[in-house]
Amino acid sequence: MQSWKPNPRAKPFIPRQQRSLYLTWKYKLTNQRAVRRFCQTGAVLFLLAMYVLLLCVPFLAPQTGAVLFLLAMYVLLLCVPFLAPQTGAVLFLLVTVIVNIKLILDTRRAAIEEAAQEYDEALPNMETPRRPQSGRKVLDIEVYSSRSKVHVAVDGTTVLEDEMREQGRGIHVIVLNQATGHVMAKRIFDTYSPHEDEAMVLFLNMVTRGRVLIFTVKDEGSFHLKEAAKTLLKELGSQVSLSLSWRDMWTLVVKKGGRVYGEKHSKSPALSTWGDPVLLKTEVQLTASEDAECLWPDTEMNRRRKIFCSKVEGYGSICSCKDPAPIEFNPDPLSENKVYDVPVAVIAGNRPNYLYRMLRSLLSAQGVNPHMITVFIDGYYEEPMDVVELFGLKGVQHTPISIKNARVSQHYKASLTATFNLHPDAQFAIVLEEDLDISVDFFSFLSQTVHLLEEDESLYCISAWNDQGYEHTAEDPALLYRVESMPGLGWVLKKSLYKDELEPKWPTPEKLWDWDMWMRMPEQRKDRECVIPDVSRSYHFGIIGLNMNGYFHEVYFKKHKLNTVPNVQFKKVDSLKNDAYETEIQRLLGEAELLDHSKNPCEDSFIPDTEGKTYIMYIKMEQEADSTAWTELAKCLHVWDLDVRGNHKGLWRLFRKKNHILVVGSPVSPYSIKKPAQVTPIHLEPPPKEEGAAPEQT
Amino acid sequence: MPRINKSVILALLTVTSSVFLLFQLYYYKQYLSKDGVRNFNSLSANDAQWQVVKKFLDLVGRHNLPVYLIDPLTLGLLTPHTQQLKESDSKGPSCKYFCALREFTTFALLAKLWKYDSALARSAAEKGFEFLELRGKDPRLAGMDDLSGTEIPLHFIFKLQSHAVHLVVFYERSGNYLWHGPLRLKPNMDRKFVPFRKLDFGHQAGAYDRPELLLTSIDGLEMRIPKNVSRFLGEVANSRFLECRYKEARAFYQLYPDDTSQEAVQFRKNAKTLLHLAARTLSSLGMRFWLSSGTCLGWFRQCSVIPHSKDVDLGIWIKDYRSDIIPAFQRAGLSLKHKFGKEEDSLELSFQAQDVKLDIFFFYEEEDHVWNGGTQAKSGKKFKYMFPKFTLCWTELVELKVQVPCETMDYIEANYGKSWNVPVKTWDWKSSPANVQENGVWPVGEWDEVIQVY
Repeated sequence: MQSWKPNPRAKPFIPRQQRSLYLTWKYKLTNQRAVRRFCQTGAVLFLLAMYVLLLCVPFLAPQTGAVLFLLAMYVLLLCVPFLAPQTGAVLFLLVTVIVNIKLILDTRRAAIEEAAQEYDEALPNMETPRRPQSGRKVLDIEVYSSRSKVHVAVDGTTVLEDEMREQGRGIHVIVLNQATGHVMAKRIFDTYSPHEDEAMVLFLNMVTRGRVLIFTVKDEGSFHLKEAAKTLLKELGSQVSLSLSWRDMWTLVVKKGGRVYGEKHSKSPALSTWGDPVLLKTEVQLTASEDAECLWPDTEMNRRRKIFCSKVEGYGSICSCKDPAPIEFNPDPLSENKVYDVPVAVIAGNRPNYLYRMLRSLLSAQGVNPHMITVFIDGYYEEPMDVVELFGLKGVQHTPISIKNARVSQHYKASLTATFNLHPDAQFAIVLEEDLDISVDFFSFLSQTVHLLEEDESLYCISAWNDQGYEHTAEDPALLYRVESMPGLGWVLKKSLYKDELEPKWPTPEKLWDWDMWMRMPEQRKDRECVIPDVSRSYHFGIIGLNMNGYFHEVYFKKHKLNTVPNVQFKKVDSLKNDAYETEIQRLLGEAELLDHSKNPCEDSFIPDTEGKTYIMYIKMEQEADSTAWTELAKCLHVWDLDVRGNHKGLWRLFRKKNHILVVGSPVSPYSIKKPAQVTPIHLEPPPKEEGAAPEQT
Repeated sequence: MPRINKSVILALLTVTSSVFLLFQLYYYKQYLSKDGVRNFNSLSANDAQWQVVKKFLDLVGRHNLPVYLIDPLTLGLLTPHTQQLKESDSKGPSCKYFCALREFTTFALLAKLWKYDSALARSAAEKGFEFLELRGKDPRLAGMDDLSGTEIPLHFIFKLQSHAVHLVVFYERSGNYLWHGPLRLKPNMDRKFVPFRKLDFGHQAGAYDRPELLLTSIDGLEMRIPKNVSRFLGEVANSRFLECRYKEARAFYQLYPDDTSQEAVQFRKNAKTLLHLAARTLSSLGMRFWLSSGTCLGWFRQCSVIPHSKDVDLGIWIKDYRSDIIPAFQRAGLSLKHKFGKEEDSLELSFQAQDVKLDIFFFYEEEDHVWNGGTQAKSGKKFKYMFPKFTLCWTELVELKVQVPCETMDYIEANYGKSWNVPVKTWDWKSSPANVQENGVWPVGEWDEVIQVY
C-alpha cells in the first residue's frame, strides 16, 4: 500500500494522512476489543468529521461535481461500519484511496489544461503597442505648406507628405474623426485649374458636421478658387480665405461647424515668387465617441454603417444621421434564376468611390445573390475593404505582384483561381470590374443565356457589353449577337475554359500584357465567339484608370447605351447557337434591302428615314486584316474605331435611325456572295495624316 | 488469533482496496467524459446530454443550419442497430444514445448550404448557451497567389451547463471533398471554456468525402446522420489533411520560374487527367494509394505536377494488392506497359496512357522501414528503395483529393536526398535516388514471370 505512489505530485499530501491512518489502523488491529468499541462509538463520529471536512472541499476545488460524486460514494460507505464493525478499517483505507484518486484527477485535469495549449494559434505576439486612449484626449497637429512640399502630422505620425515635383499642386484636404483622430479622407483639389473648386465645395458639403478638417496649399491653390469656395471656407472659420491669392501659402485646422484650431497664411510678395513656407502647430481636443455618432436604430445593417461612417468620409448621405441612404436594396428575385448560384467576382483596385457605385448597382439588380459576390482587391487598401464590409459582402485582398498591366493581369488570375476555389461546384463565374454600372436586368440576361455556354462549344463567353452599342447605334433590348471579339466588361467565364486552357498558360508576371488583350489573341480564343446583347447590360463609368483618361472616356464610353428596361425577354435565344445563327443571318440577309452605295455613308441621308427596316451595305475588305474601310466608317458612325470589334465573319450589325443595318466586308465575308454583281463595295480612305483628327469627330 | 488474522486482514484489505481503486479509476474515466456534474442531484445526469442536444437542434432548426451528427461515439453505438433504429423510435423516449456521460456531442455544418448570420450568437445566448466561435484562415485562398480574406468560421462550441455541442464547419474544396480546419485558440480566448483536448475533431485539419445524409430520429430527436455510418467512421480515423506548402512553393518558383511552354501545359493536363482516372479506378477497387516519387515531390515542392517528370508515380501497400488491378486499368483504357516482380517481392506495374506513363510501386512493410523494389529489364537486376515508416494524410493536387505520406519531408529526403529543392532534369532511377540499394538478381528461371515488358 505504501509503495503505491500514484503521482509524484500527490506525495506531499498523502504520507501525512496515510501515516496517521496507518497508526490508527495498526492500533486497532492489535487491540480488537478497543477497535470494536471505537468503531461502535467513536468511529462514526470521526468519519462524520471527515465528511464535514471533505464537504468544504467543493467550495475550494473548481470542479465541484467531482467532489459531490465522491461524497455520494462516502454516503454509501457510511453504512459499512454499521454492518460490520471490523470493516471500519477498510473504510479508512478506502478514504485514503479516494483522497489519492482525487489528487490524481486534479493533477490530470491540470495536465489537460496544459495540453490544450496545443490548440493555441502559433502566432507571434505582434500586438502593436497602442497609446492608452484614456490618458490623452488631445491631438497634436502639425501642418506645413510650401511651394514644393506639404506635410501633415497627427500626434507625430505623418498622415500626408507630398514633395514630389510637378505633382500634388493645389489644396490638400484631410478629414479626421473628432473622437478617434483617424484619417477618414484625404483629397487634393488642384484649384489652380478650373472647376476643381466646385469639386472641393461638393466634398466639403458632404463631410459630416463635427469632423476635423485640415487644409494646406502646395505650390498654388488660388488661381481658380472662385468666390463660392472662398465663402464656404470663410463660413468654416477661415479668416483669410477671401484674401487668398496667387502663390500664397496657407494652412487651416477647423472643426466643421465648430471652432478654429489654427490658421496660418503667408502672402506671396511678388508674382514671380511664392509666399514663405508656413508651419502651423496646434492641438485638437478629442470629443467623446458618442458625440461623433448618429443615433441610428440598432440593426445589423446600421452596425455596419456605424463602423463605416466612423472610418471614412466622402460617401454622401450614407452617413447622414437623419435620412441615411440605404445600403440594402432587396431587388425582386428572378423566377427560374439560372445564375443564382454562379459566383460573382468583382475585380477592384484602389478606387473605393467607384467600388461603392459599382456595388450599389450590382446589389440593386434583380436576381442578385449577395452571398455569391466576392470583391477581389488588388493590394492591402483599407478603404475599398471598408466599402465591401459596408455592404456586408466578402472581400479578398491580394498582395500585389508585378507592375502596371502585368499587375492587373496577375490580379485577374488570382481572383479567378480563387473564385473557382471558393466555389468548387460552380461551372461558371461572372466577372465584373469596379468601374461598371450594371443594368437592372443583368442577371436576367445571363440567366436566359448561360445555357448557351454549356450547349455550344463554339462559344468563348457571354458578355454584357456591346462594343458598338452606343446611344445612337443600339436599339433592341431583346436582341442578341454573336461576335468574334471578347468584349469583357461584365462577362461569364466557363470553368473548364479557365481551368483547362487559360489558367495553365496565363501570362506570367514578367510579361507586361493586358489580360483582355491576351484573351483576345487567336491562340487563346481559337475562333470561338461571345454572345452579347445589342443594348449593353453594363456601363463603363471609370474615368481614372490604368488605360483610361477623361478624353478617352468622353469619346468612347460616355455615350454607351445601358439598358434600363426591366424583365426583358430575349428573342430566339437558341438561334445564337453556332448553326442556328447562320440560319438567322441568312434570313436577315434575305429580307435586307440594299442601301444606295453611290451615297456617302457618312451622310445622314445614307439611311432612309424609315423605322424597323433591315438594310444591308457592303464595304471593301480584301482580307481579314484589312480594316481600313470599316475603321473609317466606324469613325463617321461614332462607334469604336480603335480596333476591329463586334463583327461576326466580316459582318457588323447595328442600328441607325431605328433600322437594323448589316455591314458586310466584301469579299472577305462569306455573306458577300449575296452582293449583287453591279454593286461596288464602299471604300473610305483615311484622311491624310497632317489633317489630324477626322472632322466628323467634332 | 489476532496475530494470525493481522496478516490475513492486511492482505484482504490490500486486495479489496486495490479492487476498489481500480473500480474507482474505471468509474472516474467514464465520469471524465462528462464535464462536471453540477446538477447531479437535481436533474438526472443522463438526461443532460439529451437536453442540450435537443436545445441545440431547436436552435439550429430555427436558423436553418444544415447540420448532421458526426459524433464518433454516438455513431459508433448506432452502427449495429441502424436497422432497428426506426422501430425503437416509435417506442418512445427511451434514451439510448444521448445519455452516456459525455462532455461533448459533435455535429457538422455544411458551409455551402449555410449563410452566415450573426443573429446565431444572440439566439444561442437566449437559449442559455455559452457560445464560442473559432475562426481561421481560408485555405481556399491560400494558393499560389497571395490572397487574404476575412477569416472564416471553422468551429463553434455551444456550452450549456455540463454539456457542450461542438459544431465543426465543413467547407467544399476543389476535388469534390469536404474540409474542416484545425481548432486553434486565439491568445485572448478562454482555454478552459471546455476541455479542448478531448474534442474528437479539430486537433488537425481533416478531409472527408461528401457523405450522403439520412434523416432519422435518435432518442426521439430528428437529425441527419451520414447514411453509411461505418464508412464515415472509417474516414474519421484517417482524415488528417495537409495543406500544400504554398509559401515555399512560391519561393521555389521565384528561383525557378514555372515552365509554361505548350508541351509543359499539355503534359500537366495529361497528368491531371491520368491522376483523376487512376484515383477513380483504384477507389473502385477499394485500394488506397499515395503520391510517390516525382509526383509526390511535385506536390511537396511546387504544389503542382513537375512538367519534365514525364510520368505519374503512385505507391500502394502490398497488403492492399488485388490481382484485378491490371484488368481494371485496362478497362479504364490504359495498356499494361510492364510488370516487374511478383506479389511476394518487388512488385511494380507500369501503364501507358496517351503520352504519360503511370508507375505503380508496391510497398513492403518491415519492422523499422518500408521499401519498394525496382527491376532492370535487360539484366534482371533487382533494386530496393528504402523509406522510413510513414502514415498517410490527405491533400489536394490538381483538383483531386489524394493521399501523401504525412511525414512527407522524410519520405522525399529518403528518395531524393537533402537537395530535393533543386530541380534535376536528368534522373536515373537506378543510381540517382538516395535510398537505392542493389538487391541481387532475379533467378533466370523466374524471368518470364517477374520481367514482363509489353
